[in-house]
Amino acid sequence: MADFPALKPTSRSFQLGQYPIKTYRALSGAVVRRSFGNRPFGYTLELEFANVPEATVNSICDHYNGQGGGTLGFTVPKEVFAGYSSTLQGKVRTPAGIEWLYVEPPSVTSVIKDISSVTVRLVGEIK
Amino acid sequence: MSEIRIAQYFDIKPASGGQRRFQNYFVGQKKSLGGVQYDFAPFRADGSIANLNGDNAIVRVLFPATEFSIKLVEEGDGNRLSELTLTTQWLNAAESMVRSYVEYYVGIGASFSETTIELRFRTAMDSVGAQFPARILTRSLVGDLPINAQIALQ
Repeated sequence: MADFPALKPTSRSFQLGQYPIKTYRALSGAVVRRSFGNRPFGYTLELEFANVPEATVNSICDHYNGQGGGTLGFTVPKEVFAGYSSTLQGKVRTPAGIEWLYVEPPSVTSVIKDISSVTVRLVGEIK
Repeated sequence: MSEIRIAQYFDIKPASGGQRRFQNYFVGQKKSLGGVQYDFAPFRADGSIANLNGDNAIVRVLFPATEFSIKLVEEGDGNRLSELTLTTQWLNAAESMVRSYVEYYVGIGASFSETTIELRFRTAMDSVGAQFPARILTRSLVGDLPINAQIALQ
């Protein structure tokens, strides 16, 4: 399990995981919720690496291929969450029992020669 | 609005031996029920039905097709005649048990797909049919036995 490359993104968006709940809504509008687990899943993390050199693109591509696309889980290093305190990093970067996986292949947009922008979408799932 | 937390405890004893116990609510934890430990496994159990005829209730348990769950089926002789005790617990917000239901099933087989293993069970007891005890066909009841299946009770 190779860590994601230690790169600081130019933008980062994050969503906490959701709990496994099913909802039944009656015609009256009354709602019953049923919970089937005590841990959240499906954390999402979107990273953008804007105007980065080819070496950075290569390292992301190599990592994607090394993980078999979305097959193998991995950890995200603290550099990716640069700017967050260690307390917050514990909640969003390394939630208990969660591993990160690629949602889709990284998207690369060429800017100029040897400079590209890369977008990576990850999901945090229960191990 | 009401909220119910549901935990299922799966206790299977294959015909070939090797009892296994799992629960599906407390992720990555062991839980004690009746003095024995249940490991976490991501299964779901559904499909239990009852009808007025009192037929066997059928239930299916789905596991992800992992090395561990395939072994569960293979070592259990394809889930034939395994004994399942399925306990469903309703939990409160503190995850303490509020209510509990226990059901007993017998394994009738299993099937595989690329992502899932389905274990099928039914209740051990069927209802007593209207013809119990079974009637015996005798010449006095049906007359001369025909060579086809058209037998009528007289």
